[in-house]
Amino acid sequence: MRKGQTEVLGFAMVMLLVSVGMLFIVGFIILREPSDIKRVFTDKQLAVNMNDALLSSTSGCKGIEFERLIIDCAQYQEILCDTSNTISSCSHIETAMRDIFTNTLEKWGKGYKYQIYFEGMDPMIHLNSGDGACNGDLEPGIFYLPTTKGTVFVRLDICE
Amino acid sequence: MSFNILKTKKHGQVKMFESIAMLLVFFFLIAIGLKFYGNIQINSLERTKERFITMDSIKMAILLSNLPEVKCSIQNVQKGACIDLYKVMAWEQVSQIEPAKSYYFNLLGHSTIVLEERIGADRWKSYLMHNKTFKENYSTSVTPLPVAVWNPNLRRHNFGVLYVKVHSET
Repeated sequence: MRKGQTEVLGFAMVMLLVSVGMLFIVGFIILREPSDIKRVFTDKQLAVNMNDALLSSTSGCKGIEFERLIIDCAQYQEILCDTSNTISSCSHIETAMRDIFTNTLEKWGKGYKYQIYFEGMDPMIHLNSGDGACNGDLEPGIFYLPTTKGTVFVRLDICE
Repeated sequence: MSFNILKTKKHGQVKMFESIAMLLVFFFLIAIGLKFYGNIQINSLERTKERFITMDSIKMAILLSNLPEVKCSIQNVQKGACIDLYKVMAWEQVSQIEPAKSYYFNLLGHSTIVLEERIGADRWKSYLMHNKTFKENYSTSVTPLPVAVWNPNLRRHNFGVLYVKVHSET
């Protein structure tokens, strides 16, 4: 092999090593997990804030707040929300919550799972986002309400 | 003798050509590398910028929801995740007049802040609290913050959403 050829071969090998090194660096930069600040804040805070704001808001049923209506739904369902006395507190909560979630979470492209339940029992109210898909990381906002039948859990999970 | 000189010259020319070719390849590779690295840097800067805008938007949402100017308070005790509707109405007027206008511009910068109150099934009412955009070419990061809207006159809370839209020049 001539001296010139050896030089070229050496140079090519150096270049190859540099290229492989750069590929590793570039791969590391590109494949690095993107920042998740917004998702963590919006999903977690959204779940807690949403639940908190909802519980203290007026439900549209005889000027009663959602918190009281949920307690009634979990206890004896004595409150009726229309003049013909057919809409129970539970069905009013379901309708009102669906309306609110459609105009907020679904509009913002967030999946959700909203449940009202006693621990270890099937939920009294269970709402899912439109397509029903809420897999992956869920950020929960849970509130506990005391009733005569025990503590009722009001849980809102938000996912991407 | 003259033949020998010619031979050496030819050999030297070949070596020189070889060196130039190698340098050319070397600079070509350097140029491609720089271009590639530059593009990555641009993308990385764009991402960092986006992250800062997002953080600004989140910071502003937290700041706003805790401003005593709009937050609900009962006997001077502030309530969490609650906005006083009458304070917002007062804000809408006061924030348009100097020196409050400059004060709130310094505080909120280029942003749009809208409070949407749910007043019935599928019925919402909007209150524009702040609106300062760039003339052209700007991007926006939106952070929605659910709040309870307190109406002291009717003595009841409605559900609401505080939309914080932070604008940045592109």
